[in-house]
Amino acid sequence: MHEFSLAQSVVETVLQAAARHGAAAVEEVNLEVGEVALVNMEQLEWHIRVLTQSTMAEGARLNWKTAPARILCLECGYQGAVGHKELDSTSHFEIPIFECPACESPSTKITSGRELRVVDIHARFPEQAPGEADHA
Amino acid sequence: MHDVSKIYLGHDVIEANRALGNQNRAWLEQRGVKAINVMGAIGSGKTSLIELAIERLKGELGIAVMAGDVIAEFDSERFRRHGVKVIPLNTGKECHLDAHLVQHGLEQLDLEGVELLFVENVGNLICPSDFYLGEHLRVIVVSVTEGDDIVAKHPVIFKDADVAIVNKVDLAELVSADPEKMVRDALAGVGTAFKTSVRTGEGIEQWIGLVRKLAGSA
Repeated sequence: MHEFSLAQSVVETVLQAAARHGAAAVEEVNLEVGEVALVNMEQLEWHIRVLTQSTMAEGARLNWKTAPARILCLECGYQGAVGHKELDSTSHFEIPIFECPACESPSTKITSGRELRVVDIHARFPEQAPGEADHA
Repeated sequence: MHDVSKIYLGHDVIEANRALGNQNRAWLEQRGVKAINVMGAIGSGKTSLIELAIERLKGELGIAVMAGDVIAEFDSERFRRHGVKVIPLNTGKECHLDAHLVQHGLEQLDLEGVELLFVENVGNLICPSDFYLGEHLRVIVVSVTEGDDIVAKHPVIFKDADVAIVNKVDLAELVSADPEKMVRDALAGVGTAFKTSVRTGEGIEQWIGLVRKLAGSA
């Protein structure tokens, strides 16, 4: 259930940014989720939906894309994508393999793919009376 | 007509936890304290291994413990019996410790005379993995009773750890588990993995040795 605390951080980030920019409502939230961040997106989406109720982000569309995992090999210096192993050929369920694809060493470090990033939000601004200062 | 525009944020909430973890780390370093984050499965023996290390090392090192659990009082009471400073970290319904909770724990903990801090995480092999607390060493404990494929099922948490301990090896035969396979699987992720039994003492010297080495390193 660590998705709840992550959802709290996401919602806080979104609402603070929207308020700072003087937005009236948030229509869309775009996330980037690392391939090996242990985040269940269905749960995260549900918690975000609950936590945004009665806020200016209520009902906002939530989109996400996966950021691929990258590793650095401490033996041969390989930097790049992790390999994958298919565990189940019927469901095509794959798990990442952290072994170096170049030299097969297990001494690798994950350099990216752990993130849960709020990339941007689409916000609606209040209509302005003529002569009012621009919100930008 | 409504005016809709895009606001760029690029804010990584996992990275935000890491930044808090870095603050905890700095706090510990200023006070000359080394911290070990002990993660692992429920009932794998995290508390017993920490208790054993306290008993063996409290004569030579100042030790404190943060006991993280859904209800932390049970383990806290066990640690208090060894005469060390204990801060219970109740997570309530949460399945992991995060850097923020540990920061509050550090505010309450008098680190005067403390050289080594054990942070016992909530028993869980998934959630704690994404949350750096500021520790110097990440230890992950599993036991043979969880089944000998437990390590292979959780590659990410092992990749993030420094040391893996396969505990309760005295029970391996009774539960038809192969502890050697568990150690092999763990070594695909961590640099150091070994077997222990709190009951027979197997591997305990290695555990004590690595704790002592960390606490003694400047």
